[in-house]
Amino acid sequence: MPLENLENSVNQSNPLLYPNHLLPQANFCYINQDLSDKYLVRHTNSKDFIDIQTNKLLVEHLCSPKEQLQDLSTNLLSNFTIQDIEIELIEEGGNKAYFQEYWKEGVGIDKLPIHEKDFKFNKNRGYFFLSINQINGKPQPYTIAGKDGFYATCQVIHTPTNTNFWHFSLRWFDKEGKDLREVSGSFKNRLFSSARTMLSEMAEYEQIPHYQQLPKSFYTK
Amino acid sequence: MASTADIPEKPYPYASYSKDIQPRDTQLGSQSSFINSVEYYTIDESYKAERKELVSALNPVEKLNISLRNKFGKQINVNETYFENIDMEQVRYWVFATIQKVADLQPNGVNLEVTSDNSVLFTALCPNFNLYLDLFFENEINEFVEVVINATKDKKTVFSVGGKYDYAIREFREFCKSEQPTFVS
Repeated sequence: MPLENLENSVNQSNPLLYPNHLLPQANFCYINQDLSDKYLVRHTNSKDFIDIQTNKLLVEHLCSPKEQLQDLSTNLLSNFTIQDIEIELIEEGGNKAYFQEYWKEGVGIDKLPIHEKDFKFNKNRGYFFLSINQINGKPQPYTIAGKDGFYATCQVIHTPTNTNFWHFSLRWFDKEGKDLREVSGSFKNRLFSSARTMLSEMAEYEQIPHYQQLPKSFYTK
Repeated sequence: MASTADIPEKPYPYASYSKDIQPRDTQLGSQSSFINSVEYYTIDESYKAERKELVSALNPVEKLNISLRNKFGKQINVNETYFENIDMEQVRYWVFATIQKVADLQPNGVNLEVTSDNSVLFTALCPNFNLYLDLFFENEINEFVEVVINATKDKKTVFSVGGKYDYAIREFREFCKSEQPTFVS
């Protein structure tokens, strides 16, 4: 079925259809505008994700295992709304790999997720927010072999997928700009413990930040 | 002064609630007759009262120490697979040693989490900083590996160290001297 027909078939008033506003379109482009006043939102697998003794996120909900931190999935709170947090892709649907693939600019999508086959609404999810201004480009110190002076810098990168144009990733780079996804051994422990510390400090959950849709000029050609 | 050494962990199995106690020789069979007996219930209640009395005599650091040990025990029971093939005696040794150090900081709030990264993460709200202390254990070489400590103030990292336990704790102690002179152990 041509994409146009697929898109036309999406009825926004039907809650069982995949939300059209999340899908990338052929005339969309990567977002290169300043988003520093915006927030990212990330889901948790439970609404009970805060430790009452410290008022900090429990680490299993922040990101566990720590490898998730190499490329942490978040969403831009804008056209992606709080309600969209509930959407969960289903592993057994058979198309999850395609739906999670990174979208290629200028290319439309040729499959739509089907309710209960490819996605479901998970009402148990909670969420927290990260201010882009507070994390993007901010260096986080860590040590190697007892030596100080190592910094991992967090970068917020627009990484749209075939089912979520508003998908953003948090990645970490060293001083030379090298992507730290490839680090191994105890370096990894030190780097990602430090990164997790930063996110734990920056995570906000008590109230939903003010947000609105992005201007179309931010993401269309 | 009473200490944790005075309190036996669990000298005998006891019913959690009086409603769990069943009549003699019924559902659980004759072998459990003592556990189901009124005599057992009486001993159990008196043990609980004695334990409560001892705990109330503890100072806040000792109470926190016990509370964190219990929390660790519960989490390990639920997440035993996280530490598969790791010497649990080693894990307990290092975790309990760290619990004592964290309790000595007299934090305003503290949490301990067993994580799927083979680590135990302590989060503590200390008077002058927030502490994040990760103890990592390695399941391949069957030994304790290292500790990563970060301290933050006003959402910024003000201290970061990673490495062997003694080294990292020593560095952290130096940091604490300037931030919180009461850290002595």
